[in-house]
Amino acid sequence: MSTKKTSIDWLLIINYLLLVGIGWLAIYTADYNPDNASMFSIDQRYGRQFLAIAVCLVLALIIQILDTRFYTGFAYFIYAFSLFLLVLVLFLGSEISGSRSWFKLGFFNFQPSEIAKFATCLALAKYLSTLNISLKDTQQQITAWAILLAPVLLILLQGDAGSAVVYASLVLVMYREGLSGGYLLLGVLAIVLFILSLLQPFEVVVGALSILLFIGLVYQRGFKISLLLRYLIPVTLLFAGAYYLESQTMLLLLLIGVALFILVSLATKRFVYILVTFLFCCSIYVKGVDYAFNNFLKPHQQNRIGVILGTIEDNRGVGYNLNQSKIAIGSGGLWGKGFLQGTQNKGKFVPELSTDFIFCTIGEEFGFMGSVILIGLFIFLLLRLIAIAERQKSKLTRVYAYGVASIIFFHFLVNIGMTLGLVPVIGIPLPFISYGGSSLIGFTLLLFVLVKLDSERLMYLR
Amino acid sequence: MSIKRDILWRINLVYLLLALVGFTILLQVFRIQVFEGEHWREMGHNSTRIDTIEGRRGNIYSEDGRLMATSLPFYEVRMDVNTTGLTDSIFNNNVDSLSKNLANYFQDRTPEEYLQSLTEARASGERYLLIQRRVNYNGLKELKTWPIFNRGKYGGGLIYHQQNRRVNPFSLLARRTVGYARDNSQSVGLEGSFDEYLRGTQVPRSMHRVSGGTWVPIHDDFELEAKNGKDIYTTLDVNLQDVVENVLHRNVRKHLANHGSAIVMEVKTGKIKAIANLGMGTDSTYWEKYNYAIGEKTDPGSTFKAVSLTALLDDGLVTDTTIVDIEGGQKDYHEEVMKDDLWYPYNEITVAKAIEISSNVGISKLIVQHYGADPAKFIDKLNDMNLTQPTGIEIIGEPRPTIKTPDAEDWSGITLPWMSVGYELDITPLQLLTFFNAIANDGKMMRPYLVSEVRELNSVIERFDPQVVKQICKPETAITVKNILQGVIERGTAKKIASENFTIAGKTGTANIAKDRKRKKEYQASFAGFFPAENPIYSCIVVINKPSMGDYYGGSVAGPIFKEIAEKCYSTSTKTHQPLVNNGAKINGTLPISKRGYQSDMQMVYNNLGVSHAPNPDTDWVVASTKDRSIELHTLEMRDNLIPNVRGMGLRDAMYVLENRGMKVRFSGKGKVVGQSPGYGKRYRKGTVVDLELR
Repeated sequence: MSTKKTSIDWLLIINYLLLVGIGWLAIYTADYNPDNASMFSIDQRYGRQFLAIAVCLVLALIIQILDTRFYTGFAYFIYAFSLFLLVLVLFLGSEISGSRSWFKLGFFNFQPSEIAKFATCLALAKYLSTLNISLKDTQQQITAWAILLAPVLLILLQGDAGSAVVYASLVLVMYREGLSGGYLLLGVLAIVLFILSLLQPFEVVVGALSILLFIGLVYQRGFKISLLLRYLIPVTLLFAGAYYLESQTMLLLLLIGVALFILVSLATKRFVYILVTFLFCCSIYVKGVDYAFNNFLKPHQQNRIGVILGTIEDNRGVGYNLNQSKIAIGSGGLWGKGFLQGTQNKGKFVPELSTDFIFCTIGEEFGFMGSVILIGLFIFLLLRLIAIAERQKSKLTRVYAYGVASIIFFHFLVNIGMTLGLVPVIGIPLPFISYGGSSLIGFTLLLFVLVKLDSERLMYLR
Repeated sequence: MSIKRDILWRINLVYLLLALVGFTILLQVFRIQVFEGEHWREMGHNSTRIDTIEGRRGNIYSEDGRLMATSLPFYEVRMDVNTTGLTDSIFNNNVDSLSKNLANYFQDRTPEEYLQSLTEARASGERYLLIQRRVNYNGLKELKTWPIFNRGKYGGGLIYHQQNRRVNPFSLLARRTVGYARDNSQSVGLEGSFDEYLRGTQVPRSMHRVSGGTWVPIHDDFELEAKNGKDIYTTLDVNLQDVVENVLHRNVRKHLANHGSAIVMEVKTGKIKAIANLGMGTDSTYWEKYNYAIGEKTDPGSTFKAVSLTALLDDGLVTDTTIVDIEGGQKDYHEEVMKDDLWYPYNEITVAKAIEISSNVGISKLIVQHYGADPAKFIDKLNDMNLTQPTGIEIIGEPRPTIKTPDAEDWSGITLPWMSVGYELDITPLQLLTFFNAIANDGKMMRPYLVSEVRELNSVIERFDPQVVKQICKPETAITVKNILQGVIERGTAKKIASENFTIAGKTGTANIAKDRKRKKEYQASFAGFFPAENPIYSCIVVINKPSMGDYYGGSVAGPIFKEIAEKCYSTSTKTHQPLVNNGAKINGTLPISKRGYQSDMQMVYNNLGVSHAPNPDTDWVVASTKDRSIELHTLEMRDNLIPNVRGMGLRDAMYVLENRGMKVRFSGKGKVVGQSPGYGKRYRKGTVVDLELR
């Protein structure tokens, strides 16, 4: 069908090697133990990371040797197997820092959710690249969502919310493949309302929303007294309820209200009732967020969000972490304090220094220049990934490449963002840099399968 | 076309998102690192630091395991008044009784003051409230039982940090030898020389500052635990040390000496059993100022004649009966006059006699006669006897003896004769004692040592065994020297100190140690020797520097101190006694009175004393009664719920009986139980406190 012509994207591989190397150095300085200073000392994290890197390089080679049909053909099988592991870990896993997401294999602790990212990406790519699949079709859209959400559910059951949130990034892939932009808009609205509901009282948030909707209504339908009445009566009831009723009663009544107005809007097909239904839904969301935040989230999760939003002043707990993280990064200044010279690193003032807060060591010891180089490498990697995605003839490879880019993008944004105080603290690693064999293997798998698929972009038309 | 535009729009949105995020992150990094860099750097400087914590310093023990130096922990107690586990209701319900407990125990503030400080701290969000700076271990144990604090660290906010304080249970005993560990200046004594063992490991501890300027450790548990230091077991015998120090103290005061020192060494091993140094302070009191015994070298004076004697005998140049003419006790050497201290009505005497009367002329004549042609041979001999070398004792600061050699610039014609009687050379008391000890040990020189074991958690990790330095002379020579030195006590300069109980061999020394000997007279009285002379167990040296009450002779100043030490050593040390002959003697006359106790203990005593008694197979606890010529053992009645009769028991038995039944014992006095309250036969419950009076 075509000439056997493969081309490996060396830029990607060089980028990978640079990141992994920087990561190793960062772990070395983060966990530096003068009694055991060899970078290869297996008793220390840096030695074990080196081992993981070596394993990853072998893995990368094996990935290139295997036929691409192995990945495309077995995509669903790999996905099923990873789901099986996620179920298994619920029963056989060990609990490490609050989440049951690890298999203890003697020397090595293995976290199946790191592999599940790869498997989900691949399965999603396989499904979306099947002939005649369109996200416009409700049935098929639901299947795509199911592929995405099954691992999320299992990971949430492990109690590892951080890893589960990562899958949200795959919505971006679905968007690229034709998912309605409405989902993104809804997502943005959800985030905005979430933040607002924690910052402002219910009345203010819903009040502002109702005014906005009313302006929209008048813009669409023109100003009429009857319209005003139809809109104002339920809104007034809403505020009266919010003022006099308890949260739970209020939520219950709102649910009944929503059901009622759905029926009314279906019956009358009036735009105003659709808007009221939407307003009621948002009210439930806002009230629900408030309620869930106070009742379902663990105190430390409340704190993490509160600190970022500035509603909690906490210099010992989460605020402490963020403060120390900023001290470490900030004290690096323009040029940094030099390799192994970081006083904040040495004192381990920042928790989880070699895993979640690894960026602090780079910030402190290599300064702004080092940070720019690292961030630059990531941005370059992401741009390259998208460019690779868009040059594919094969839809599978394209979707997969987008998946890889989205996942790395999300990790990059959240991990570095949290050390800088831009996003709440979510314990996910910085790809290729953070200490952890499972994570490194997971990302290597993700990236090098793409390298392999991309290398044969000229051979097959999948 | 529209599909294509749609896709393009979607791709562009993705790029836009990426660019936006990248830009935001870079902006924030720039803001924090470049724009606010100085601020964060300063904040880090002001609010974080790295301390070191050190494991507990090891103990120093005497040979019999008594503590000579230890580190006692004390605790700084703080409270996280706002810890998550401490809810309002728990706090409010218990804060009153906590305040009462605190006020009761520490007696430094009223309960109201404590209450106020706790509630205020809680209201103000305090998480590191200082409760007490120095609480001892028992206090901490007690404190952990109080309400709120008994909920632990997270539930009750109890925080404590351990610190250590160095304590010497025997306060001044062997103070200089045990030493001091000092951070900012040279450590001394064993604390200094064994610092590497004693010191616990140091690990860094990261601290950060919270509101109010207090520094709080960040990590609750350290990755590296600071390891405690190792324990040192010395060769010192606390009882002997006490004796030596007391005797020395009485005597330096009596003679108003500048300083004095005394060492007792075990002959066979070289173990130093006691070492005392007392120097006069500015207010004329004496204390362990400096380790003179180990660190100060002076002209030894006549005690050194024993060395010259050994050289002459060992080289076969003289025998104990060789005759020497002391020329009336005065002789010129190159226009320097050598005089004997005391005039004796002899001219021609034996070598033994020359030592006994400590004739300078006699000894120097013999040495010049035999080594004068080649003085290097004498120095070589001293070298052979290891007298030119330091002993290698573990204490830092032992000097090397100063022994001139013939090729030295300051070697003169009179050096050899003067050296032979203990001048023109410097040697420490310990170095000289090591020589005397070797004579006592048939010529086998032992290395003196102070530390026998290093232990870690009660297991020995390093043992220091007796070490033979070398055989310094033929055994026969040593025996001859021993005999001659015994004559010094029997007939010679130390006649006064002869003991009725045991024999002593030794040599007196009276050295003029003034820098300018002709014009000034400053004496150092010394006595070195060993006892019992026939089969020496201990060697000992006493050096009194500058006695200023008129008497300055070795025989009359240092000698009596030596004797007193020797007698105390002899009487307290069981090793020096012949074991009592076990002739199986039955006790005659009255049988010993025994009352209540543990049957097998009592039987053991009876068996050893040969008291006839009838064992009682029914019980462990017995009441004894005397009948005819033997003792009957009756069962000690003990009923459930009734307090048994423990009168007549020793404290150990009484406590065993009572506490095993769940009662608590308080006692006063010592001896046997003479009274108990509540009395026997009364009902008791678990935890009933029984007061015992012992006499």
